[in-house]
Amino acid sequence: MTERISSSTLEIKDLDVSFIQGEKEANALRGISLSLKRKEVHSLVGESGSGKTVTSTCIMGLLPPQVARINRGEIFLGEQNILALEEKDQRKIRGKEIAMVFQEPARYLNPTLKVGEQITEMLRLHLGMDKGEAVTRALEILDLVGLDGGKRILGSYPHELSGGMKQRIMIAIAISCDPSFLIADEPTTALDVTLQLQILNLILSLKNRLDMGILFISHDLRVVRDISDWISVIYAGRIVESASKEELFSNPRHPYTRMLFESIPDADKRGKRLKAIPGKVPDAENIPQGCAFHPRCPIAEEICGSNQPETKDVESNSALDSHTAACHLIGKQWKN
Amino acid sequence: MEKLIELKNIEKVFKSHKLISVKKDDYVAVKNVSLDIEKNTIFGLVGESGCGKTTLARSVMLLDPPGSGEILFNGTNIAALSGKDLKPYRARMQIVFQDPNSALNPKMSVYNCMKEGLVNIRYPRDKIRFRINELLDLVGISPGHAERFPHEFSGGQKQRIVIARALSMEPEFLVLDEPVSNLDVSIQAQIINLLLDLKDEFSLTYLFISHDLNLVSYLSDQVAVMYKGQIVESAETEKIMESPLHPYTLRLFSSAPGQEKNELFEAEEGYSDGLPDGFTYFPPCAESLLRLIDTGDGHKVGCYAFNGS
Repeated sequence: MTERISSSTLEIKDLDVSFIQGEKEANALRGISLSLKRKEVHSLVGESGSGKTVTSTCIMGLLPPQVARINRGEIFLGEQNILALEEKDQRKIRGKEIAMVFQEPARYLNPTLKVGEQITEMLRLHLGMDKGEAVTRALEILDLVGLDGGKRILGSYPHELSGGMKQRIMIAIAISCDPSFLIADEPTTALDVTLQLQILNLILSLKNRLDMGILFISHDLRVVRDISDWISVIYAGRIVESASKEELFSNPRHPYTRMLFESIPDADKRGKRLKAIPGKVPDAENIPQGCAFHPRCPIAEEICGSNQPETKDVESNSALDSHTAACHLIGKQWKN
Repeated sequence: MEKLIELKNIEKVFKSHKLISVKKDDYVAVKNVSLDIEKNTIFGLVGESGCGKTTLARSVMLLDPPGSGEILFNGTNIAALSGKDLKPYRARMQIVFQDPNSALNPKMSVYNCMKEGLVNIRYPRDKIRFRINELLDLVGISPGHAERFPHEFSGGQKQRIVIARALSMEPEFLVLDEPVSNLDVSIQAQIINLLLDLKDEFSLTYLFISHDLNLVSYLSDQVAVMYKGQIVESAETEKIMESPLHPYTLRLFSSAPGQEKNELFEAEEGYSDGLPDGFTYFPPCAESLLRLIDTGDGHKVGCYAFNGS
């Protein structure tokens, strides 16, 4: 086996990414910073088009080079800036140190290869195992992700498996090289509720067993509430608020976060109108001046339309945790 | 309360059409479903994907007429009608689909797309434009955008247009098949509020189909839980949320994200804890028919073996 670099943090600093198509430039990420420790679940919550998936693909180095441009920013794995590495060295990290689970397993598994080949490919490539060793290890991993009948599964093609099983296979491939960090990009969105719970429980148990740090990307606040330690809320390519789970749910400070919480229907709100956020998410080509949320914000003032708010520390309920938000009007009275 | 829709023993079987195969491979998508929907209420239908929710909805709309069973609309069995007799009922019930992208023809402007239905019901031609503008205004789309094409609108706006089109027939009954599942969180609330407003304004009756329990429990007056083509439990929303009886309902409710007790419920054989006497649910045997039994106050539970008391 090759020597391992075990890194304890994954840190994104001021990442700014654009997609360029002809004359048009879509500024998908506009200076994102977040840090992820091992054994921690850090969730990135946002609506579609807010830049969640661009963040994850950028970490994995999977952005299409023809159209994507990284304007600035760094991604540190331990001490190493992985964006500055050569493709050849990046490839050593990708899949081994940082692995990823995608939303739709059916699209990311190769339909023409047996599942066994897809799992052992990783082991042979990254850990230099021979075929026999790799199969033994693959069987262990299948057991770990809760799939019985290992030999039979290794010999089957993806279409022979159910959606939940495919997602377990994706997770098996991701954890096969014992990564320090796992990026889970909406891993349960395509699944039914009962399956969703099984997969979430699996991800949490694997985190504890393998001491992984997990970047969990989702649009579903309820799921995020169940599994996260730390939550960052992303809107139009910027992180608008970031705090520990307890702090964020008890004391949301950014108007967007507050309104997002209020707009979720549940049984307690029966008979009352939902407080909907007016307007729609801006697309990355036409992000409003100043604070991107100001056209939809109920308390916006003149300054919000002209100056982009800095990310500031705000008062936290718990003295231990920091709580940051990017809004000019944090102290302003919020009326319902 | 007056019943608007009554379903009696609806069954839908999809036959396999293999040319040479001798093997019969029929798939029973909806099995023996009976339910009543009262006027001006929202009836929520929940279940996992593949349980037959959408098939049932399409059967009710007579888009895929059921194999057997009765659909009573205001007391008339519309499943037995055809052709000319059925036409007036078609306009009185409308459906809003999950994905507005595939529900709108990309080659037709919003105006043309909405005009079709009105022409079909012989709406006075000179008033059509006025009517379409009125409907678009109602759902929050600027009437000035009527000449635009579907791709020029966002997902939420497209869903509004689909709702406006359904309303153009002045229906009494609207089937909403996962109308917000494809939309962003912040847009979902807008559409839900719109649906609630419209219900009050036109005294509509909804059959709301969803897999999202939190949403259904927020909206509905009645909830039915569907599992493998059958209704396993149905009751008023408060009742079913407070005291779900069927093991499958329990499992579904406890797996919904955001629940405190988030444990996977494993149904055991002969599970009967905390249930009225005479009930045993499992193991469900393939031949026996699931019967809905009233435990009082309209709370019905599906039961395979009822010892009769």
